[in-house]
Amino acid sequence: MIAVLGLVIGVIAGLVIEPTVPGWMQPYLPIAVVAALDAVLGGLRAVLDGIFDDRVFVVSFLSNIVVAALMVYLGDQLGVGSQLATGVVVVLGIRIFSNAAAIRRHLFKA
Amino acid sequence: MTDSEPVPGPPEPSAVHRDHDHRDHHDHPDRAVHGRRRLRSALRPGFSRGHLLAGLLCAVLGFALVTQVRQTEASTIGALRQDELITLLQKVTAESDRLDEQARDLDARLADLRTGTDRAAVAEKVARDQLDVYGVLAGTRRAQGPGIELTVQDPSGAVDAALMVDVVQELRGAGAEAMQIGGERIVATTAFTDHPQGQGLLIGDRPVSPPYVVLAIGEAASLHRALAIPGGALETLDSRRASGRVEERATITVSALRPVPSAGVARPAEQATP
Repeated sequence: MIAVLGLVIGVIAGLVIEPTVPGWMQPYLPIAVVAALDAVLGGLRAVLDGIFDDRVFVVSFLSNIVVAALMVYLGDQLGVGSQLATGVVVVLGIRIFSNAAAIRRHLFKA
Repeated sequence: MTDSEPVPGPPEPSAVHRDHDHRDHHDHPDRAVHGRRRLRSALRPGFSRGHLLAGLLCAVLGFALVTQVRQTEASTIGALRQDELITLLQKVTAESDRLDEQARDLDARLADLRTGTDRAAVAEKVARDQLDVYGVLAGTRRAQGPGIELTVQDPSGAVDAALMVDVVQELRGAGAEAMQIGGERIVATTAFTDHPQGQGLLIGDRPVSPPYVVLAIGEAASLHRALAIPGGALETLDSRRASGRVEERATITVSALRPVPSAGVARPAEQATP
């Protein structure tokens, strides 16, 4: 409940404040958002599995973001930034799909 | 989300995945009912520090999501990485070089065409000027310029064709460019003949009777001097009891014309053969 409320509040705040992304953050924000989405879907799946834990959710959320951003940063330093970013997005996308499939099975019996 | 649910394992995707594989052996309707009940219970309001933290993170996610979407809509270049920017820069530079080269080519062609047009215009002007000169010399164009008007009074009929030819030659020698006597234009082929009936002259085919009015275009002072030199035309006229009077004019108009001669069989030769 609070999580859904928080999501709505965040979206509204973003729409109202209209922030600009600082330059140093621009390459990492999209990847971080995708990683966070993966963490949130993982959390939702854990709720449906009955194994949700606040602490684990917070840690996995933050570590997902940090690891994703770190990989992109490392890729930029190595000169393979765009390729590594693509790889991270692909992996996260696969995980999001599998999480979504599990959630779907929980909710729709299929 | 409430704390009433037991928390047997971490929600790490890999762990969940193993768990999920394990649970696949259960029958589905039962699991779906469990899932919906858990979702409903999770959507009931409940407060704890952990829940607030999760809500805060979700708020951060929503905020970042909207921000990134706006950023993507707002700028296309700002979000690109360094190597992508380098690729883009190289592409733009190559395109710019190509366009520069094209511009240079077109400039050169424009300059060529300009000079070509200029050359053609100059040639046309020269040709027109020459046409004017030749027209004046051949007597097919009216001519205007400084010159003299010579009036020859001949009460006793002493002026014959030979004397008139002398006068014309004196004027030509002094640089006369266009002449007419009476209404007849004087050119290289003009014939002077004594009139068969004794009075006056035939200039070309036209009978002209005194007083003879000779109009000549050229440098007025030179023409005047040429006629007035000792033993010249004016003195000869005086000695034959005729008289000539010369007036220098700033503007003389030679308006008599010759018909344009048509070349019959002669054609310009390409080059003179030695």
